[in-house]
Amino acid sequence: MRAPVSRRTLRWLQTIVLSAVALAWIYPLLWILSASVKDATGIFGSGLSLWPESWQWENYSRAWDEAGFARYMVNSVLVTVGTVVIVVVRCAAAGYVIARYRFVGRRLIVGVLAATMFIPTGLFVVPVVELSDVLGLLNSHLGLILALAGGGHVAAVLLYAGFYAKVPKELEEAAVVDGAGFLRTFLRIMLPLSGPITATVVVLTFLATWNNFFLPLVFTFSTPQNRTLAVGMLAFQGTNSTDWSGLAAAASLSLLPILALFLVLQRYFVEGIAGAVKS
Amino acid sequence: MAATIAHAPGPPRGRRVSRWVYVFVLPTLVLFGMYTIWPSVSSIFYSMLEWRGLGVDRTFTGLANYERAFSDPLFWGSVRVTVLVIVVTVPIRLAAALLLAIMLNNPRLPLARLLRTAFFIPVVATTAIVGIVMGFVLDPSSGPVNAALELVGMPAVDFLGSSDTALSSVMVVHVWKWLGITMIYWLAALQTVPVDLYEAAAIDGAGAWRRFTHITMPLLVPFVVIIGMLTVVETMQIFDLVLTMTGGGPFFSTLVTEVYIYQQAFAASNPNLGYAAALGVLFGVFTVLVVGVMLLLVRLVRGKGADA
Amino acid sequence: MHTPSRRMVLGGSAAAVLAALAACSRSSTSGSSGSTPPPASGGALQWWDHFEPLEGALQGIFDTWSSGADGEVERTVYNPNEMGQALQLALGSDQMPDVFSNLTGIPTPALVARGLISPVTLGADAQASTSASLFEGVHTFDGDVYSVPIFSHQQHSTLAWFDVEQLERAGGDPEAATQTWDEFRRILREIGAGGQTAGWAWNIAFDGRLQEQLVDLAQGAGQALALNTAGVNPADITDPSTGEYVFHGEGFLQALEFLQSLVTDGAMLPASTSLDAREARARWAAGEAAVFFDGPWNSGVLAGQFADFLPRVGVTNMPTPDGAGYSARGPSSGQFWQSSTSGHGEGVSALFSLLATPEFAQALAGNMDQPPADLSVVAGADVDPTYSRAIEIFSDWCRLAPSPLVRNPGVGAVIAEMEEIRPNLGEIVQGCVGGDIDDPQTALKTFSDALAAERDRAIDVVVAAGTEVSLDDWVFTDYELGTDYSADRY
Repeated sequence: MRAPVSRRTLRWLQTIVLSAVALAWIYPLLWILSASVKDATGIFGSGLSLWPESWQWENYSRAWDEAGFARYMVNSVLVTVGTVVIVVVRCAAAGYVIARYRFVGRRLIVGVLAATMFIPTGLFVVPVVELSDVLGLLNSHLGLILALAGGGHVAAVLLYAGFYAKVPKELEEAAVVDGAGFLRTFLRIMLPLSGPITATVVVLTFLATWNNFFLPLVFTFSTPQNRTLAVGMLAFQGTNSTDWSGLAAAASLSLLPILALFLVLQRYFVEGIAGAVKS
Repeated sequence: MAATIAHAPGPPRGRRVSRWVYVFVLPTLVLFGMYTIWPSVSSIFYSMLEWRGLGVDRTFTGLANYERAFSDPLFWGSVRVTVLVIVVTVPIRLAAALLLAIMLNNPRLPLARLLRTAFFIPVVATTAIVGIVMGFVLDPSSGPVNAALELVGMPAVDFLGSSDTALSSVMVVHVWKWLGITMIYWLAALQTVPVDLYEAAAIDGAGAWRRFTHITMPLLVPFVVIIGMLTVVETMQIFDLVLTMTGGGPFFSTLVTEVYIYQQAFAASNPNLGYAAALGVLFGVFTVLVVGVMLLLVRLVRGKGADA
Repeated sequence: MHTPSRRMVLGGSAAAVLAALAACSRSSTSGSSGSTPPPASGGALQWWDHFEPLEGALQGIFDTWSSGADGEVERTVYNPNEMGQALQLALGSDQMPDVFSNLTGIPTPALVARGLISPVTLGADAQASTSASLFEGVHTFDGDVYSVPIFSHQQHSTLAWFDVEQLERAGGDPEAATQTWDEFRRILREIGAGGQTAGWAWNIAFDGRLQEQLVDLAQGAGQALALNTAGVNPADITDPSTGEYVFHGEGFLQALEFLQSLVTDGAMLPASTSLDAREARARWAAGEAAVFFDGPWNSGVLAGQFADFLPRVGVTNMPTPDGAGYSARGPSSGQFWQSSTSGHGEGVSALFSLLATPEFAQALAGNMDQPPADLSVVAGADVDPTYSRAIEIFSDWCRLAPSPLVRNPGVGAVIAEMEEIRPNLGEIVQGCVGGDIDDPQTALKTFSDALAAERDRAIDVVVAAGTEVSLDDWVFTDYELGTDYSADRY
């Protein structure tokens, strides 16, 4: 126990250094926000300056009306929430049994999951579309959600597995003593414990789904009313020109939900097993 | 990683439970089969076709696409660039993000919440616009980076426009954009380290470095492998950023494999899905091999460490 | 202590699952027809293209058609980068739109051969007005009309757009039809030497545009070329006197040297090395450079986004060695095609007939994008003076090039069979300017040779499949740059 004052000073020093770095980190976002209220001349004429010379709020109304954002926003939320829920549930379940149970085929599953992580997925959209067509899932939100929630997400399974492998056995045993069955143990003890992982998976899946472009595009070819925000942003990039300020406004609108989600979930990022064990 | 999880001790259970085990993996297996295994198998099939653009004519050509790929200097150049990006950026991201996460994991650090959000922000910033901002930041005549260089008497650098520096610049921006993701992986991993251990160690008088090497690091080892692999995979799929910042140029200096595959499949003046699929399969096999060898090495080293 | 909130989170997510699933099943059943593709007839006519600026003009004919017929058009505008992929995916899942613009990379004759597009029946007026501009192998196949051109072949992408004030200060003449290469260099150097702005903004990161600009400048330098269509794709561009690829010829070498000299003069905006055309235009319009090479659509884009700047802008033809020089493109292809799966045959035919009306051309001119097929309507349209000036330049200096494709549609099959050669022409320009290629002449010769070898291979494949085509189809000994190679000369 050296002088506690010095440790506190040290922490403030850390904060100051980190804040300086963080400013550089968020600068481009501030730039996007400021671009969203500039006109094209303002964006390209004032370079790095953040303060708009004239405030062009109509960029937002243009994004909202022209790009049909209200409808796209609803679609995006629906598709993204559906995908995130499926991903969390199925990946947590799979990660749990992979980490804590020995069963036939387990090693094979882990091996195949790990190996397929490295396959470039850029072309998967072609066979996925063919499959969805055969199964009659094209042109529906359900088909889109399944495709988004089904492909990849090996990372989520691995993160859950890595986490559950570290959970002390005592917790489970205590649950069994209390008479909890398999499902109950998982739902009541294990899933809540993995808050930090769930928060991570939710944020990352949300992000990936929200910004995904080609799958939502293909699944809404003949149902334009089902399009998502990322697809809706098409309208800003034309053959010979891009509506930069409209795009910036649309981008600012579309990243609000993700930022809000991150702010809400971030307490889970610093909340560990230890606390749960005590309570 | 397969290794780290494979040794997890499972409580012995009766038959009643094992049914639940299969119920739990089933959804993942089904979805995985539909949306990963099936496309992978299809890709292998596509890779043996002569399949141009609009897909009516598909003729089976066996290994012709692979023969062509083996002698395609642009493909191997792109693999070289991709490997270089991985080798350089992944260790930097892992180390910098871990440092950041440890600092921001301290609940007593002032403004920790705000700072965590700040470092996460580039992750959500729209790539198409990031390209424009970075164009201004790295501008060879009026950008702030070059202004700073000028202050210390260095010549201006055309960061994105010269084939000597474009790749390094893209790598820096790539690390900047995605550091926040690695940070939250580490934050999640750090939550498995019991706080009481720290408190006990602190009372014993252990300094920050000793606590890190003796408590944090050993507990994080399994996650190092998982997060390392995730970061490698994410880096392999570096795509949007390159497309908006340099489009693979100038003169192929930033042409990564995913961009090249995309160009062959969809953007070429005469798109060729069969050939693109062959490139994808080759690149996948190549990476699985490289990662497999790396994991084997990790295992060997750790096995030796355990024996000693 | 945390338990209650956790339970709430869990409960919340369970509710969300139910809500989401309920919503999904609803939308999947209430969607137009659930999983099956929309019925062939009935429903809106799906129209996909990548011509964002044509919104007004197309809406006009859609409205005209809707008011007379019982139907409506649903138009989707794509970013050109994504259009090709969208079409590939649509075809793979039987979701082709009724009408699309061809960004598949596949030449039209191959689309016909593969049965992907189907002919239309033009109305009498449209037949009469288009009779001179339809070419077999480009618009008609076996006599059936598949599309009508809406744009003119009289255009290029290398007009010199400038800030009038800057140009005058440097002693340039804003009214001149064009500048010589030497004069152009002098002006840029002078503006750049002022230190306030750079002389010239360029789109070095956009290799497709670099390619067009090099081809335009090479023609300006006197290189006669045969071009299959009005599009610029190296496989389509040959020397009419020999039928060979000629990218290592004198005209191309001089044009490349000229472009390099602009860079080495130090007159270029340094950031140009990493700008595409949109960004370069924006930096130019924001006052960072005085001159910018672009096509006629620049007027339209400026009017939309940089309206304050437009009145200060002037335009001349591309600079040429001696201040006078023709360029030429092949016949302008049709932009819109009817998918063979379309169940809206009559509607599409009616719409295509409307594309051939003077009203549409007029509206097209008003958009200030690519020039309408009939340049003369621009004079009567309400357009910016810079646009009328650009069109004037085109009608004076742009001609119709001979097209091997028109002579023998089998040429299209050869082009479709050819693989892209890389580095492509634009990438070679990029490499030469950036110092990655030391010897432009060798690089261009290698490129021509590789194309020739690829064409030989493709001809063998196509001939083996029963198409009659030979190298002679590429030879036009009677062509001279500056003349029109009109339909009667084939």
